[in-house]
Amino acid sequence: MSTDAAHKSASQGGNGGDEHFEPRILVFCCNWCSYAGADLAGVSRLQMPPYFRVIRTMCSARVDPEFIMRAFQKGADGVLVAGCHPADCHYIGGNYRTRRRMALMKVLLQQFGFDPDRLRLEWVSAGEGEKFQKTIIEFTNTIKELGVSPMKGGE
Amino acid sequence: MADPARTKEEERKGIAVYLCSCRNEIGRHVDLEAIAEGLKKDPRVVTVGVHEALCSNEGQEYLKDELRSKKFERVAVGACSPNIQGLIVSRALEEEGMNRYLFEQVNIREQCAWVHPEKKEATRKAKSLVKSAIARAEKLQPLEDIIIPIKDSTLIIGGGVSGMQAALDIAAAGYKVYLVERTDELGGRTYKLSMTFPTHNCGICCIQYCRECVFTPKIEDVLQDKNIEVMLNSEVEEMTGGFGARHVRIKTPKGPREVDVGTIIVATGSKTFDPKRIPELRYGHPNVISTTELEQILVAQREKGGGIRRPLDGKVPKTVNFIQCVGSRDKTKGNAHCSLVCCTYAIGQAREIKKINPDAAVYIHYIDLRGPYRGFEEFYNAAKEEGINFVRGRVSEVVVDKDKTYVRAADTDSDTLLNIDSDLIVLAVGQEPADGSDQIAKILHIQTDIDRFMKDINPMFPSEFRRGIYVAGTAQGPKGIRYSIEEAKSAAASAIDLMKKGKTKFPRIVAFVDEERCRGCGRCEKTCEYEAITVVPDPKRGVLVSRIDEIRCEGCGACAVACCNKAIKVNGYRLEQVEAMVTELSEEEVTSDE
Repeated sequence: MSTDAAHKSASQGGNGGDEHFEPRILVFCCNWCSYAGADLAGVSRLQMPPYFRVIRTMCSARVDPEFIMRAFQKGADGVLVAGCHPADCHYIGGNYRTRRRMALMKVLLQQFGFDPDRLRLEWVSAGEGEKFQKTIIEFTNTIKELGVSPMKGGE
Repeated sequence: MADPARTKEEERKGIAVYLCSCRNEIGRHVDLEAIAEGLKKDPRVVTVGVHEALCSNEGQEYLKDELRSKKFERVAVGACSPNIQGLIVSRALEEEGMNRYLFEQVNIREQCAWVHPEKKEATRKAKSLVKSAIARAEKLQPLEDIIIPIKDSTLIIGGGVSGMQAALDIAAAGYKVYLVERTDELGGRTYKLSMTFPTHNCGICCIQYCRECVFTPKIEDVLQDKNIEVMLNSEVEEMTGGFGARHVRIKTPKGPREVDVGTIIVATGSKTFDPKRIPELRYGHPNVISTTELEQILVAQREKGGGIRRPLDGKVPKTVNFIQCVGSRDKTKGNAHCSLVCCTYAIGQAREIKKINPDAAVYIHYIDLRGPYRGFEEFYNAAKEEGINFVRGRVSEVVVDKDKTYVRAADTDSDTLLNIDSDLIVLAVGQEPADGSDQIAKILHIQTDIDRFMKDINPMFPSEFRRGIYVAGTAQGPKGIRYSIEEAKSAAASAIDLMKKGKTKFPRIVAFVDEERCRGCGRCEKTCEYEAITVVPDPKRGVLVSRIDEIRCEGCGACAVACCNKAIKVNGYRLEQVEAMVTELSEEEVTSDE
């Protein structure tokens, strides 16, 4: 959790206390690892908060910064990018590009007045249904604490 | 507007939406009828249908009937994961004449119905997902599959048992085989073994047709086969071209050789772990040898007789200790993986020592005994009956004191520490990828796993590692001879199958360049992992443009993101196609009316 989110939830309860806040979370999953990991979570019936929506791309390296910016512009409260673990990319090195790109995206988001924690990168392999569930629960909690996106009038 | 052809085309523009209840697996958690009702108001949607199982025979017939009667162009489906039954559904529509690139399926089972218990929430999510599928389906473009010819020749890299078996099978089917071997002889590591499991008899050290090895590949057969061209002392240096017609440059003692092949089988095998990496085992002392060195002693004894003698002074060893898992299952100094074959071969060697020298005390120090092979249990029991001592526990170190060597080990069964005065210590070394296999993986664009072995796309399903490239034997991971040969035969069968067809088709989910927009900066060329992109001068306009070889392209889309001028697009994942989904899902109405 970033400092301002912690501060907000500590000082005034933030939007985290808002029972009715239903965040919109976009999840980009690579076809080979993370999408299969998300499917495994489903097959294993691992229950998760219902606010995330998965978009499949062939590789996490196909997640154009434009997609992320578009998501925030259109009102998403959080974006999660999930890809194969390092040294495990179906496309040899796509995930390394994603890693570098996401680090820059976080800086960029801050420039636009978004908390960088609204964007998260996670490695989820095809066998990690539980990790997918854990990631979704954690990220949903983070976004709930951060509250409504500044694009929709949140702070 | 009056043009009837145009009107007909427009008429077909609509999107049909089908929701699958999955025999109530989805229907139980998601109110599909309510979603269908809501979607009917959408002007883009021409028809909405709910079916109990689209992937069933009835479901497929239903879809075909719908396509015949309702004249739509595109389909959006909300059902299970497209990676699970998606192909069946789109294939049914394709059979009826629909372009399958105009089909979009979203996952409302694994990622919705099964993970969200609240029906209201799940329904809302499913609705937004289906709407995003419609948004994307609207932007999809009809495409044709790529059809390419496959050349009728094979390159096999590695001349061990796997490579030889694959070569024999493919040559027998009438195809040309180029067999490249790095060393100066065929046979690989198996050729150096004195005996093999489970017959506990000779390996393939000879070329005679013994009963035990009549089914293993033989060097003479490979050398005499007219369809097989063997290149010894040779290495693969470079691969260009794409699926179906790969151009490979091979460094041979006679100078470079270039071949064109339709399929490639990688059988680069493994090597044994270097026990010097674990200094406390004192490898290098004459009394401490590896199992491969013991093999050579056993081969020599078989050929010349004279019993087993230790290298230090030629004495017959009275106490022999085998240390298992040297370099395996050891994250600190070795490899994390289990090498699978060491328990089996160490027991075989121990039995051989006991057979030649029944008075010797033989110990095997093990962590777990693992022999996932038919006949292993009997093999192990026979060893116990012959008086071989199995000691469970790790060996802490080998101590050298003047001319004596001691093994310090724990016996966890009796909870004691042992200090065994040992004449001969044998280190059961594990397997790791062969030298140069990293290089081969790089040249062929095969991914490697955490242990640097070549990695399957799906670990449960043996298949191509890349289009037209197969891996057989220990290049994929440690395994025994029989399993290596099995893999070689299966790889050969797949390669033969592909070459027999002479051509193949694959989806045109590949990147392409809008040359008007391209600035020729070369970022994409650097990004591509498959060397599918080259920046070339365009003589007509006198500028640099990048060109993508769609046969080499794997469709990952990394270049499209790297492009500074949005000149590269990826079929099926174009900017507008993904953004349609992003927009739909981000803008989703919070207030739900269901």
